Amino acid sequence: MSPAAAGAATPSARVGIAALARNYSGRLAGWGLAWLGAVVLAQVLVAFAPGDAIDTLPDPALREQLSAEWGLGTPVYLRVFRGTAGVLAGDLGSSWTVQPGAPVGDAVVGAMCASLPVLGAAWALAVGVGAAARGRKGARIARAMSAVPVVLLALCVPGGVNALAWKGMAEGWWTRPAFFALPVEGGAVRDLLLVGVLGLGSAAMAEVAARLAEADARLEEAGFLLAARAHGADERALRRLRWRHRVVPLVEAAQAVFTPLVGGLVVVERLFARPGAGDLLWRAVELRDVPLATGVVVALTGTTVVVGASLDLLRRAWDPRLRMGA
Amino acid sequence: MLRSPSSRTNRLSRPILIAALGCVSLLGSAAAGQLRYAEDQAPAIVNPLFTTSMAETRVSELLFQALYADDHTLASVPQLAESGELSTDRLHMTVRLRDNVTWQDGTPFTAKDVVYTVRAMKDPATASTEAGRARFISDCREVGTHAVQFDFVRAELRPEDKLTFKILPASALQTLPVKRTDSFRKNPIGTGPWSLVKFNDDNSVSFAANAGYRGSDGLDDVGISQITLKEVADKNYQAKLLLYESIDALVRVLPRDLAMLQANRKVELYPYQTNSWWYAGFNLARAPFSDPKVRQAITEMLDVPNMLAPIGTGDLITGPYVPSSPFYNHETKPWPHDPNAASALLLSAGYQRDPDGWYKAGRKLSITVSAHRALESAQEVTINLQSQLQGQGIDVTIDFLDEAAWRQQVWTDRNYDVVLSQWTFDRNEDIREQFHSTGSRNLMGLKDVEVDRLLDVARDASDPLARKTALRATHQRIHDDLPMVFLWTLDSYAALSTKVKAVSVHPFAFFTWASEWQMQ
Amino acid sequence: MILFLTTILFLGCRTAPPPPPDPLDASWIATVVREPERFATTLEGNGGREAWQAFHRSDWLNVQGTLAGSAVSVPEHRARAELALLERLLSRAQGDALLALAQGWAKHSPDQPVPKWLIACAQRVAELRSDAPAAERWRAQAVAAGIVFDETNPNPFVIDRMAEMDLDGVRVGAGTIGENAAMGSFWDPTLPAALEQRYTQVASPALGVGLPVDLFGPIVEAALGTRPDTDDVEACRAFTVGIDTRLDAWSARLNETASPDGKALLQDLQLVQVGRSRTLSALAVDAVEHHRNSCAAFYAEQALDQASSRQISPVNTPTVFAVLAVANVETGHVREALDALSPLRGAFPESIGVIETIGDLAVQQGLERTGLSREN
Repeated sequence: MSPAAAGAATPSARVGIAALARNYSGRLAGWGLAWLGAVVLAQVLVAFAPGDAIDTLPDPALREQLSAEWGLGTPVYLRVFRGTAGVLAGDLGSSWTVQPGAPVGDAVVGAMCASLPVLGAAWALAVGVGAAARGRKGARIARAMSAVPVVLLALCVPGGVNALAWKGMAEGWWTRPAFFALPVEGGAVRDLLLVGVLGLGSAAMAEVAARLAEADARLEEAGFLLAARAHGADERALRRLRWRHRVVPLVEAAQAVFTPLVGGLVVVERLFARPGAGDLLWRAVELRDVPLATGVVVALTGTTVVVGASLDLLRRAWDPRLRMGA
Repeated sequence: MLRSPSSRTNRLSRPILIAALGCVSLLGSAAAGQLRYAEDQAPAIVNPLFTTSMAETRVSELLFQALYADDHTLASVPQLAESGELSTDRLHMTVRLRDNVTWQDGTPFTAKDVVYTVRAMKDPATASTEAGRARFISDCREVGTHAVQFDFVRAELRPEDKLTFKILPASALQTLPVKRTDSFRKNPIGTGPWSLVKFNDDNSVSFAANAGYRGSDGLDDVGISQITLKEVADKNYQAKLLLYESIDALVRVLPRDLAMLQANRKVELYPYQTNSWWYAGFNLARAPFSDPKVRQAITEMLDVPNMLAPIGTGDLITGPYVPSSPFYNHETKPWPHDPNAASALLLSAGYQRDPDGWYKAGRKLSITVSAHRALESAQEVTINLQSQLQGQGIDVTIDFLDEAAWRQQVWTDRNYDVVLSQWTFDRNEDIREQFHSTGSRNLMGLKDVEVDRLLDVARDASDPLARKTALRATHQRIHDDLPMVFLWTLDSYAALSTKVKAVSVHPFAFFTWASEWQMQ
Repeated sequence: MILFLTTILFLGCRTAPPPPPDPLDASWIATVVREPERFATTLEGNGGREAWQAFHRSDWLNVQGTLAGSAVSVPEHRARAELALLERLLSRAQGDALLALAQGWAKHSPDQPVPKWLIACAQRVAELRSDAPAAERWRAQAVAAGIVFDETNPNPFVIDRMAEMDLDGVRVGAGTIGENAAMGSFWDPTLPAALEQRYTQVASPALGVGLPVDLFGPIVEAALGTRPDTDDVEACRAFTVGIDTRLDAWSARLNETASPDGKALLQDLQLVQVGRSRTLSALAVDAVEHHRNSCAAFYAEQALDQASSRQISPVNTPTVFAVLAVANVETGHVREALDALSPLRGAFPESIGVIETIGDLAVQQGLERTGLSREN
């Protein structure tokens, strides 16, 4: 390329980056507002659930003192306002009933460290298998596999594994394996099962497969594959071309399925009796521990926002048309 | 003939697989001397001042001691006390304390700890859940390093029966009032046979034998070196874990698991002497349940044996006692299952029967039955109850409530039609709080002057026969008032592995005599 | 070489010597399963099917027919012997409770004088137990309280009026409440002892040997091993575990080799469970009669079918409940004794007096206590 041609390319790239930044700042603001909305909504929902934290304690004599301490006598909007302000200032407070007095930040960090690897692995599994199952037939199979509710799987799988282990012990195939008596006996096997149930049992895999199948269909209709073939492109080149065009729908699919997986995490952690953010959120809601529930929601929605925003950025960086705001 | 590589692989794969699994097979069962037991939920606070659940009560039993405790006949015997002297007017008691006891951190146990504990319990700012147990004490002071004097509000005949609350270390807590959030809750210090080692990441709790423990019977060694509390939220799974040898003790066995556990030679069942019964209670402050005819009609529509059959074995009851109780009135006849008579009652109460139900003044007779989510087998019972009543033209909605919603809706707001629940009493079977018009647990809102009188007579009786007579009359009267449909009492058992020896189980606190248990 | 190999083969193929006979194979269970026809003949020739069915399900009162009958069958004799034992145990439980109630009165109810009937009953029970010093103490108290038995206040105790009484009618009708002008009405503690005497009189002492005598009874003792003779629950537990282990293996073998009729009998009549229960019941009775109460309670608990522990059944005999009651009263577990007796209330009206007396003791022990309660 001549120096003139090279210089002619730079202004359009600068325009692309500027457009990306302009578009993206709007999206980022949207993500931030969604996160804030989730924090507010979580507090509102727990506040309006029947009963308060004080109701989980048996003695009515405690009511007055703890109501004052926890601000349960103040109007809901004021409690939510103060709670949200605290979150924005970085003060998550301390747990009321689940781990009385324990700083919420410490509890949440510990729980997230336990959950994130599992969530990430399940997500990767769902996206990977969904991508491998692309195509109409694959998408149908993936949908069929996802038809069994996650809850049922989470209930049945440990039982099935235990029954097999019990039989093995009775037949003398092995002595007591470490993974036996799930879900009480933890360890790698339980985590792998949890990842499998969450990744394969949720609708995420089917969603990814369906989106990719749709994208492939659009790709065929677009006609440029035909044109590339006509220009002498071999199968390898055509495959590369297909995958280049699949990246964006794949990223969009991955982005779309992450949030439902977070919801599924709450269920499977509870059913597998595995301590983590989902289990902690369940306990916090059950015991109406508003600071702890808020803290977990802050962390989980924050993670969703970071993942979503990052994938969004990746998507735009990959596809020049999106950078231009198309 | 040469074997093909694939067949060689096939021949080798099975032993390799078995060897690999053998390598993976680590011993999942307990180390020697370790007892593992299951709880529905791990304790949030380990501080006897703030006990809110039975799991916390049982943990307190492992870690802490009291001035007096139950012996195997449930008579009160000295534990941290050495002896006690009651004054002739029964208003004062001097308790001499044992001088060979130390806290788990090595600090000697003294009278200061007893005085501190009583003051902490009585301090309104502490808001202790155990405050009621110290209400009978007007004052408590040190009269020596190892002697305490109690002054009582009223003359007490046997105060040692009431000095059974756990004693806390003044040196560890130091100030008053005591806060729920005090770090003591995670690092409790007691004088009991075990000490808390740590709260584990998987919500289990580990305890180890307290090297400094001094038993009141002179026996200092405990037969179990480690105890682990495992959190198993699913009650239905707990019995399976006992069979799988993942736990060694199950505090309460579901009735439907009894046959399975009894058939297993590695498990032994221990019957509880508990006085607990199920009931379906009416909100007497709400129409139409304020009308005795409506209550009787609903009662006579119910086939109670049919409701009991799916959930286990037990005895039907006609009043607020279990049939083996000395206070149970065997002359009281159960309300009959008589749908025709029930219909007649509703008609006489002003209801009309339409094809789709019972109506009065344009309003359909419908009931919401509220049940606590944690009540075992409640689902089967409520579904059965619902289908029975709907078959008689009464709409029934079921509402399962978690703990917070139950407390708020049922206890605080009294916003319910019918509740399905269960009461458990200790051996004294004191029903006063549940049925006296001034009772703090009178959920149904019963106000019967005669019941009040009989309960007062029973409370004040010093003649056992007079108390028995009064409470049997109370049974009959409450049955007739029909504030609740008395359903049944269920068999109650604990189950332990046969590896645990010399077991005796306290009916309320479970671990009271655990220092005598031995682990094979 | 061939000779050597042949010799080895010959030695290896010799059949192993037969295993020694299992003593359990001599038990009535094995006889019934292996010889169903002999079982049927035994039933018909010794009292009839109905009598044996009632005996099997522990319905002893309906085995016996009338007490005055002269031609009494084997199941009736055995039922009366069981009933005599039951009444002896009930008498002991009621007597223990009554004496404890009387002795504890001053401590628990210092403001109330000891009721006259209680003094008189304590004195009579002490006499029946041949406890002369205690009887004398209570007699002195009775005299001081003005309790005199004469024409105006006749002796109300049934055991002293046995000759003139139809005990069946008394037991069934009243459970009995004694009545005396000086003492008022009370639960007569001598009724179970009176019934025991009557059943003992009419039970045959020598039934001989054979299947009719062993049927639905304990398993032959030689098969069980040496029982512990100390009040050590762990030793009793180990002994029971040994019994169960042997029974499990043996019953599996028996079931494999049984004919279809034998298998049906094994299952329908729960022969192994019944044999086990009656064996443990016998061990419990032996323990309680030697005052090894902890072991007695243990054996009795083990004998029960926990899945239906509140009912009299082929496995849950009245004797087991009575042993539990005695053992619990004598070890201070008074409230547990009431649980144990509850299943007897309907079938044995005389047990009502026992239950009421033990109940009074339980109430007395809790007089000064306030109670705890919890929801769920």
